[in-house]
Amino acid sequence: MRRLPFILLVTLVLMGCGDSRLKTVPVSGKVVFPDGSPARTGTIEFESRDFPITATGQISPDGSFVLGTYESNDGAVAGFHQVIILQMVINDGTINHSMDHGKMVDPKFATYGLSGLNVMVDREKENYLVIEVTSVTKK
Amino acid sequence: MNKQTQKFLKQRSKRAAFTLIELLVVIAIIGVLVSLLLPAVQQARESARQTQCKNNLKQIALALHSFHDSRGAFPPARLIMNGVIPLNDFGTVLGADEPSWLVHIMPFLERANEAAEWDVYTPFGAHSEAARSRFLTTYLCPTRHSASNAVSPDSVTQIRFACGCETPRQVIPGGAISDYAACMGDPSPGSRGFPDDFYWGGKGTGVLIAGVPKSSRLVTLEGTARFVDPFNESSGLVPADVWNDWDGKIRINDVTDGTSNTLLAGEMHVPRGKLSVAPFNGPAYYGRSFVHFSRIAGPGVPLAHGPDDDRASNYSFGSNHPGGVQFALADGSVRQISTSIGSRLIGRLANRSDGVEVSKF
Repeated sequence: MRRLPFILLVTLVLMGCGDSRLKTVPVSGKVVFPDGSPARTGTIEFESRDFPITATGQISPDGSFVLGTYESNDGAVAGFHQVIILQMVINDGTINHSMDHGKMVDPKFATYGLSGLNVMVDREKENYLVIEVTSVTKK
Repeated sequence: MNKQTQKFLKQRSKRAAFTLIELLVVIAIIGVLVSLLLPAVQQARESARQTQCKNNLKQIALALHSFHDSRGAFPPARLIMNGVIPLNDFGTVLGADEPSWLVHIMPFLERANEAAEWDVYTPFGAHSEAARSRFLTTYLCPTRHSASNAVSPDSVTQIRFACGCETPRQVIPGGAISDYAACMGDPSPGSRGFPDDFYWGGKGTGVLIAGVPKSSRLVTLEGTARFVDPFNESSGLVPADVWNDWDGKIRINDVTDGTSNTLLAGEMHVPRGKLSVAPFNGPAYYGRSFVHFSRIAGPGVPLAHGPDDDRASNYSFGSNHPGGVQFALADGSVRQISTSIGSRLIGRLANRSDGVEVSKF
């Protein structure tokens, strides 16, 4: 029984060792069209070139976003990333939306390999990235 | 009583008492031990619930395979007409309101009595309230739901999207909910070229995708079909024989990536506090609202890290169990997939025929 505190201590220390998360750095930014107007909706995602991991953020109506990898706002891993922007505006005519999507991002930006957006997330400094996309008219 | 006994009793009564400090120390020690034990007990209980949840997905996977054996294809996640959907004055839709896949597979979950109350080609609203609100425990994850909160009430909601767009106030009829969603595929652009193409009949890249209702008889919509208002039973009934089949069937041999690495269905993300609240966790048999019973996964739509993950949306899979989301795969197995899986990889699992085999996940 005299060993009990020791065993408890070892157990508690081991319980703290399960974290295998990669280090992330804060990333925020803005998605804009060439004329400077913001993309008003959608999801932006960064895929790391070095690790099989992605960071995601929701685009606010002013075009701004904050990325999260493991938590909502913890940023992305440092290094090079491919970026995609995904907008889903489904209109089947059954509900009369009041449309306020602004311009639609060209759907080519929704696919890795086609988006052509590459960015570098810096390990040291604050990352604020302005990402420029082109628009398209959805039928 | 002799003198010796008296002395003994006196001594004993002196020894038998604990002091207050001693008692407090004992209570404190017991308290510490219990507080060490309690998390372990809770973990064991959660682990049991997770196993039950896994079993539910197994039953669903087996039912989907029985359905396939019997009908020659997997059931459609829902039915929807491509293009413009005919709409009546009440906002009720023909070719979009029909019951979801969860109703299609009821007979194969040994729920013949419940299934008998449904016609899968008749709008949700035309069925009895008893049928609409009859939940199946197989569709409930025990960590989230019990019988007391398994039915979403009638609600009038106005949905506001992040872009500032909003829907008019709309009535969402009440009904039984589900914690399991069909995987409609990944958001890779389809024939229309947009990432939301999965929405339309036959366009999803998954296994349980939206189907286009069709009839083997020649029916003109204007001539034969009348519409029904879910809250006004006197407004006429849709003839049950308008549709009797659907297009966009997915069969086992359409799953060219291999059945052991293609997702069938999984736990759907519901934000904390939104259980049994439409549209987050609304009536799962109501075919009109696909977010009540189906999900996608892939680039831009990763797995939610948990109920508090605000990067996730109504399109995301997610779980309340620690560590991962449980999925039924097309080979009938059930696996837990870590929430930190890369979005491109989960998209390859969601897509039945992207040509990329995934060996390790």
